[in-house]
Amino acid sequence: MILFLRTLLGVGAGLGAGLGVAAYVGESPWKVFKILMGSSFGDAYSLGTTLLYAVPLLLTGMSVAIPFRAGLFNIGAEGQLTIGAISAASVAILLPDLSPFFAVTVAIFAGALGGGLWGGFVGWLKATRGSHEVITSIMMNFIAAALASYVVLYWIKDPTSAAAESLTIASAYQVAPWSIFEGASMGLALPICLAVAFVLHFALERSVFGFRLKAVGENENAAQYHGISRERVWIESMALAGALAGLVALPEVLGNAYKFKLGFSPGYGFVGIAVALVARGKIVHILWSALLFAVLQKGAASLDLETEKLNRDIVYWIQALIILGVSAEVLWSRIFEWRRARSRRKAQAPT
Amino acid sequence: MESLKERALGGGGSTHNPVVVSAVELKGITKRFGAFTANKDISLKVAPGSLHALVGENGAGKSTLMNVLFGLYEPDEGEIFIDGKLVQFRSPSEAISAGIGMVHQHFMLAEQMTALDNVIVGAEPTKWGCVVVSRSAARTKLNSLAEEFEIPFQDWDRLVCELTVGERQRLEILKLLFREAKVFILDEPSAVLTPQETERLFVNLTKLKERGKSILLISHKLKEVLEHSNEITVIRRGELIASVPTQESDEEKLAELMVGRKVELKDLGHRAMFANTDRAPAIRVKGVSGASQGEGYQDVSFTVMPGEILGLAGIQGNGTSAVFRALASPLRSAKTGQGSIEMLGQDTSRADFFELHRIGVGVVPEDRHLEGLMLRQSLVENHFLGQQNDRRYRSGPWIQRFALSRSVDKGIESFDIRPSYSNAVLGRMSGGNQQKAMLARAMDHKPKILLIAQPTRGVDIGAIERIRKAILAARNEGSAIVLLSTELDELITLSDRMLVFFRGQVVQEFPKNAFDEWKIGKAMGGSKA
Repeated sequence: MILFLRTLLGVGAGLGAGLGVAAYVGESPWKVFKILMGSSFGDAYSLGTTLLYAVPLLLTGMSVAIPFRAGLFNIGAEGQLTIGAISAASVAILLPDLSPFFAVTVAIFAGALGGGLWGGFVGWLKATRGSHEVITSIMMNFIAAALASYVVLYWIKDPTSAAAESLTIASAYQVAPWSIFEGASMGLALPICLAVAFVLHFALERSVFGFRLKAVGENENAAQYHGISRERVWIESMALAGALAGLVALPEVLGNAYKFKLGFSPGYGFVGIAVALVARGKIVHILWSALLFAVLQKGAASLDLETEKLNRDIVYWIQALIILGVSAEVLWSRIFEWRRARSRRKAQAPT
Repeated sequence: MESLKERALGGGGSTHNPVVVSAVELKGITKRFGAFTANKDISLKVAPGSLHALVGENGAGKSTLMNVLFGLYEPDEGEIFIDGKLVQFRSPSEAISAGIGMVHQHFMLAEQMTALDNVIVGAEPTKWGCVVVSRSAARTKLNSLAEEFEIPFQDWDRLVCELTVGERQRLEILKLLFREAKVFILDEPSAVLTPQETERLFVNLTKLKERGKSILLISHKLKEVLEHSNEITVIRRGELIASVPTQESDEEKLAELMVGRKVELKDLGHRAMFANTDRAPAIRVKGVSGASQGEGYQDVSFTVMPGEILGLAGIQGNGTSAVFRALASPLRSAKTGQGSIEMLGQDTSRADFFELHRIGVGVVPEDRHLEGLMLRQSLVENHFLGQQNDRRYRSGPWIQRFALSRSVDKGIESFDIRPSYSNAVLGRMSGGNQQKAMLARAMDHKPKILLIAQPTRGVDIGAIERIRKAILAARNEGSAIVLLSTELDELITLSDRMLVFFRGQVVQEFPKNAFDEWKIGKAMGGSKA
């Protein structure tokens, strides 16, 4: 709880500093804040589009947080979600004649499976070859991008389009947006991803699987001594991470674009790292942290339009300052320690 | 006890001996950390050319007191006199220049530097007007010091990482002599030594004494303190309980002063051994060879009967740890050749931890931080480690938190683990309580075999007593126990039989009635007694 408050403090400090910058260049911070909030939550449509950012960030945030439990740093969520999306799109295009319910289920699984294999491979490399997951998962991002552009350009390209995008998926695969969002492409993906987060929360905190992850992350040696295979945990956690990233296919491909567009992700996989960091790897906190980053992402365009002296870059300032504020938590506690020590020394009677 | 205390307080300052000025005198030292008082009004005197022992439980404040003397902490109250002169140290370097030297428990040596460079670093003799380090001058001075104090040391050009523990310790002492220390503070110097090396250390310390150096020795080991010191000061919970001349004290009295109640360390209720002849051995090891973490063992065979404690003795690196690992964690220790390991009638040479747990084997790993515990996690989490497949604590994929924490509470109660709540984080507990937590975990499923390594390493006396009693109680209920310890004393106290390892082989077996510290020590050194 205290940790959570400190995190909020960090977020607040980052946000405050960002608004301070806005004030410095001559925009009212209050106005900036209002624009950010209004463009994100002002009406049902804005809320829907904010969620369209938040849901993928929720998935990639968890994709980073889960291996982190086991002591692994997954930088490959971007590649995993690309593979997940291209898998789901390919399946949808190759098997156009399924019934709607079955079709969507198959496509979701295809996305999760594609991402899962992509992530699991990183874990497997670490387990069998000792390759560091940071290096391999970064490299797998590039391979994923190249593979996706090959598939989209040579196998499932929409011949009528000038852009690098696939054919439109069959209507059975298209997940319709909910009308309450007044036209924003957000629907079934929201409850499904929330349910996934819910299940994962309990899996991490209350299941033997979660325990094994934690044991390897906390003390690899002791875990192994007590019969837990760290290799298995590495592969499992990375595969799960990849599957979560691959699920981004649901809101993006099946629920929004209805096709695979090359470069559709505005860096969800990387922002997911920040989301997980701010949430300190706890799934409950990833919920709001994903929303926070979605608000910033969403508000960026509005700031461009609605202010004169600011452009979207201010949002990256704020993001960076929030991350700094949260990670400076260690620094803050040091400062507190130091001040306490100093006052103690002052209180000492000279001998 | 009251009389001892009076004596100690009566000796504080007012009756100043006019003839002999104390080498070190602490007067009313108080050191607080926040609300916690680590040292409360402690006064003691060290006569020149004497060995003054400082005993007390872990956390009693011995190290704090010595760190005050060494200039690492400034005292909140009180004064320090060196040779009768009032001093005030703001840093260790000031203490060093006043002739105080300290050998820490973990040696402060740079492994990748030569012995010589380790000694002179920070006090380099120079030539050509302070420009070039004169190693030859240092060498000459050190050799004459080694000769004067009869501390043999030649390997000045070897890297410290190649030296044995005993050699490193001698190097530390020479380092202090090189800095012209007059007062030597030694923090648990014998904790890492064999009986022979310990003996040698005290020969060296005696020489130092004879040449007028004063020694302050922190120790847990009452026996060596009683044997070698001139005066003993007991500290408990930051307060000085007593300062007594050594010849007026004995082990039992000291232990009582340290803990504040009567303690049994030796006579823990031994009873006649099981009449084992008609029972099958619980553990049967036949001709096993292998290696683990660079430590090999060849052709090891032994059996352990139910209700018996078998001690594994040996200097570190001679195979005991590797053999222990072959028993406790078979999958992680490579074995070669034909040998077999059987526990309770089952072949366990390829068993994983859960298999061992299932057939009734409990394990207390050797290194509690490295192999035993998750230090940032609570007692509950740690209790579950290794018991993930236990039906009591698991249904399907889910952990039965309720059953688990109830069992933790039981362990807390029967082992007196403190702090006494199941969410307490292990990293904030003392070593003794961490060790108790591991023991509670290992005994949780009522094992018929217990494999226990280093149960009391770095553990205070009160906890040692409880841990030893628990081990003996398990034995008395019929468990077969393999005990690995670097404390020969502990093996002698607890074991019913002892195997001595040297260079990976069992060189000698001692039955209980033939336990003799000196003979066992010799066998550990490789020569048959």
